[in-house]
Amino acid sequence: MASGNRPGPTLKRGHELEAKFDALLREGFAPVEQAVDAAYDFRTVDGRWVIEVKHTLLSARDFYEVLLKLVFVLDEHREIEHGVLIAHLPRMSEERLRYEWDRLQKTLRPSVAERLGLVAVAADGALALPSEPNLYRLLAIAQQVFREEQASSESQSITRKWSAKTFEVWKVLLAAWLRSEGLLPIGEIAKRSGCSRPTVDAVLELLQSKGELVRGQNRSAGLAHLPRESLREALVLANELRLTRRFVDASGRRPDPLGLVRRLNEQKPNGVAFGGVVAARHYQPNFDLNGLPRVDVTVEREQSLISLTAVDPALRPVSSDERAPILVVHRSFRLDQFEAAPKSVLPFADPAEVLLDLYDLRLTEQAEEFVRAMRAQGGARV
Amino acid sequence: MSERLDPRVLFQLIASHVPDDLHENILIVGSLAAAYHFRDQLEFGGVNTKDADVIVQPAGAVAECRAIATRLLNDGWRRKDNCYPRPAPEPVRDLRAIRLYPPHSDAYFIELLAFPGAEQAEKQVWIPCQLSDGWYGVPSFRFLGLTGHNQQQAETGLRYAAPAMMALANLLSHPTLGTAMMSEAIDGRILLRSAKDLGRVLALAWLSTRDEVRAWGEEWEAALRARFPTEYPALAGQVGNGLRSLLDDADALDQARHALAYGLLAGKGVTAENLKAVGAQLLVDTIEPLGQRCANKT
Repeated sequence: MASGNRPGPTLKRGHELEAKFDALLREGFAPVEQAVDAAYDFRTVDGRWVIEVKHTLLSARDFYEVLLKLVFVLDEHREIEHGVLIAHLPRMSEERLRYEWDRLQKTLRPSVAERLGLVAVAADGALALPSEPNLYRLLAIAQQVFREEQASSESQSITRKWSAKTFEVWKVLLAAWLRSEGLLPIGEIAKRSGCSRPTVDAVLELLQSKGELVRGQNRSAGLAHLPRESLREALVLANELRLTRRFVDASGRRPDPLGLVRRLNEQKPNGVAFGGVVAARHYQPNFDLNGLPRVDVTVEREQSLISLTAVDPALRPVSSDERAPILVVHRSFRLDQFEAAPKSVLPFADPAEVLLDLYDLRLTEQAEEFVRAMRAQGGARV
Repeated sequence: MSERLDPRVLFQLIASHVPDDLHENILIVGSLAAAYHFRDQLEFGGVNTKDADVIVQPAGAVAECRAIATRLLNDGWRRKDNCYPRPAPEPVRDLRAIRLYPPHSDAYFIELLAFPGAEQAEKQVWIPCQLSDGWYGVPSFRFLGLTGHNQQQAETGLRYAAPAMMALANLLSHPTLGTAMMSEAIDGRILLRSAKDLGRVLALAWLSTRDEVRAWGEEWEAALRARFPTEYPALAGQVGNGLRSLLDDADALDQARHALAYGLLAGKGVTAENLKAVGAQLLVDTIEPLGQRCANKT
């Protein structure tokens, strides 16, 4: 690439992909260095191996085009013993790839065919041809890198659909469904979520496209069932959308979540509600879990965080290598949505927040049971 | 290098070496008392001290001190190297503390301290004590009198100071960090006396639960009212002064950490950050509420 040229999006993404492979190849397979020849991306120091990496090849034509370049290199440079294409082919099956590979191999001179290699992640599997240890090592690297790329792509797709506001609308619908409230007037949805009608309408359309929505005749709407697809998307982004913050007790003593619950009830910080296991036990008295792993709270406003830290001056945000917070704080942008309870001084977050907390705790079975219990209380079927 | 001694064993040794009829006159304080109380939490199975601080009670009992020292010496207890008589009671600063090894062991030694009278206004007083061979000094620390409140009893029957009371005594004894240094290094480092003593307060809090430390407040108020009936509101308001200075001084706090890493909290990996957090909790949970409650009673 000539100096001074600014890479477009595709090229920039290609560079990022090469960087990932570079990091992994350096650590494992063989010493490699960035190649200067555009026909391939990596070359071993001794020049015996060259590797071309392609993020996405969508058609057989693209596949052959790239392989042909490698064939020319192998034909013109007899000192290169192996030329390998590493590629992601999301629209070709493994069987199809093998078929095309065999077709190509039959047309090549043996002196080239036997030096050409393929490492591919296909739509339904992965392969390394020929089957030999070095190529399988490359395949392991390719699968790791392409899997990360796919997850990142999926995450970006989800991010475009969800914002803090649309998320609040979704939680209002989920809470109403968990409570078996039936369909809510759209105006009520807007009121509870604190969002505009256009925002509510956008969420309803999104859920409708997923088959998760029921509309009533009187401009009302509600969830048809537990919205598993949108729930899955929400869980991917929940920490970001809920501005989740995690805290540890910096004193280094054994964590005492129950003690923290007592202090919260004694000091009653404003705008704070219990979530997580504490709230789950309120909504579902037979909640199946021993002990209290941590305290989840939902706060209405940023200032509430200050009053929380006043409850315990030893609370501090977790560092990257700490795994077990004692307090997890989630932000909700809705007001007046907490449920009061006579025994506990602090109110409780609504069931939608509680459900999200349980998934965050990895209490999947308990979360499913929570859903059943909430729906059963309302007399509805799950 | 000091070997670690099981505080249970030390208490048993003291109980067996000190005549039974003297047990009611002695109260064990300091690091040994703390180690015994938290014996189930100690790492490495023991405490890194040979020094058993023993308060002779009741208050004003110089005669009791003399009687106890005489009795122990007659029973074969041996003076420590730096424990020797002076020919006269003055100058007081030259008098040596009474530090005695038991008859057949160097595992520990006891140092006799006087239980302060309620009228003692000085932070520390040296009381001349005459034994058969000359004059010695028995220190009397004003706030150690608080350790007489809520005395704990060991399995051997010996009494020792409650952690809450030792904490309060140390807090009041050091309203500022000051400049007084320890006479001996701890693991190669000479420390501020205040850092060591206030650090012990943090260790006592760290080893206790939050609820236990919160409960210290009621004990403190009761002890202060009993011991200092007219001064207690002002004293209650001063309890946290030295601690705040320690928490705000990174070097002093590190000195405290260093002392504790060699002592009560050895092997627990407690950091300066941990101690600072515990100190902040102690202020919020116990010290500030105490000050507010007692201020309302002036």
